[in-house]
Amino acid sequence: MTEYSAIEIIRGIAKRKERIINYVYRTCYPDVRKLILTNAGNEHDAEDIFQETMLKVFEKITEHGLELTCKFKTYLYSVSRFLWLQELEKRKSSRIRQDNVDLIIDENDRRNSRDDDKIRIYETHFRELSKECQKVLNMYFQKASMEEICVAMGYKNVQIAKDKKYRCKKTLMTRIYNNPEFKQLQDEIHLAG
Amino acid sequence: MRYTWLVEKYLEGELSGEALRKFELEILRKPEVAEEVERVRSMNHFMMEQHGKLQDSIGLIEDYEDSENVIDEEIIRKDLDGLKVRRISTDQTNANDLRTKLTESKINHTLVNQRSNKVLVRKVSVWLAAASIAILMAISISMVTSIGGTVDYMAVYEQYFSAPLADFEYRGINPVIEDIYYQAQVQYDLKNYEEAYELFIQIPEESPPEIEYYLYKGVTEMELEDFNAALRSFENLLSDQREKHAGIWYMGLSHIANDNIPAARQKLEEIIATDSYYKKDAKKLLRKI
Repeated sequence: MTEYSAIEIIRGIAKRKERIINYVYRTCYPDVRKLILTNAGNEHDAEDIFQETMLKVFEKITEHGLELTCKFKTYLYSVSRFLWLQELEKRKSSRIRQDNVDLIIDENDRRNSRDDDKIRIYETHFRELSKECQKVLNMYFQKASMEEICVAMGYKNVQIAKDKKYRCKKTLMTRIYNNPEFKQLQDEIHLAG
Repeated sequence: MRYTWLVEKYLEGELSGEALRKFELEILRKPEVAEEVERVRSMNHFMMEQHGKLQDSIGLIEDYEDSENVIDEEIIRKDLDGLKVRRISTDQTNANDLRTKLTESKINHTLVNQRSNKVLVRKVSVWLAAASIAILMAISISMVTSIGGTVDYMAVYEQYFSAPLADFEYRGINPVIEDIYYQAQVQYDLKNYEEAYELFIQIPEESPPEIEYYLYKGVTEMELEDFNAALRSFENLLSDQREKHAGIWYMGLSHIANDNIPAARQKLEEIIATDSYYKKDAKKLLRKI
């Protein structure tokens, strides 16, 4: 595949040259897509964010000029990453508003220190996992199908995705289960009835 | 925990037929298997629940190859601040494709200014090609070779010469010629200059699809180091108001490559006497030679 320099890409985008835009799609989209698919997004989100990124970059180039301090691909990834973080923030705010409504409806549903301990234990062991396992489980716990995980992670087939999920989940589960704090927590919950 | 693949498959609903029947019998017969299944089910529930709570604070999970150079969110925020582009509603199905969006934005900007590795684009029609020359110049200005008072003209030439990207819109006036021309441009943009040249020469010189034909053909000839042929091609641009400055500029460069410095100077002075986009570069180049 022909390689284009950052300057060629910038000019190509400014002139809306199909070949350059296709090149940018081919070289930059897979990373952006993977970022979004493995972080609570779907195919539609990935396409949407990438197009928004391209429009922003297009306007940036045509109206303000673009000064690159990194590879063009990395700049584009950084913009997509920023836009996706903004989108996640919006979704989070919307969930929090809904949670607040739920809290008013059920005032007894309050978090206690045990809840905090549970999250802390889970987070500790989750972050100990490899990045690959974190991504796979992040998608799995968000109810992504094995086919979706397979595509997002670039596995050859669904069986590999299943196997990876199984191994990652087993590792996480075993570590949590063998954590003395977790055992203590379980006993307290059991005693409390 | 004796967590097994079988328990996983059972809980995921992937067991069926005889395998499912056998495993359920096992659960009924052996309390330890039943306990194991329940333990795993409970752990699954725990992890799912905690992951849901953690979701908002977990941050992005990523392993981008160039992660150390990924730009901080605040810098990107400032960088994009003030841009007018907003997300186009998905209801506008005709605008879902990026190229359509770009077309609909009706922005017809062209590159006019650049410095260092900075590229600016404004609403004036000027050859984008010149930008790369100027950028190259800005980046490497200090590298112009001058040994013992003599100038290495080829080094100067190489610093200033850059092929513009080809840009042709199919008009359908002469489909056969336009198709060859398009193919030539594809090869040209791919920097396959020999293939591009073979295609360019199939187009009748006297009736090209557009005036820029002479520019791309001339630049191809420069790339193939046939500077005399390039000069002949660029001469055809001199009668065109829009492209003549590009023609003079590349003629100047071709003369430098041919070691014909007086002729090069003359062309550069012609540019300097105008308000051409190449004026600034021409001044700098003239000083070099």
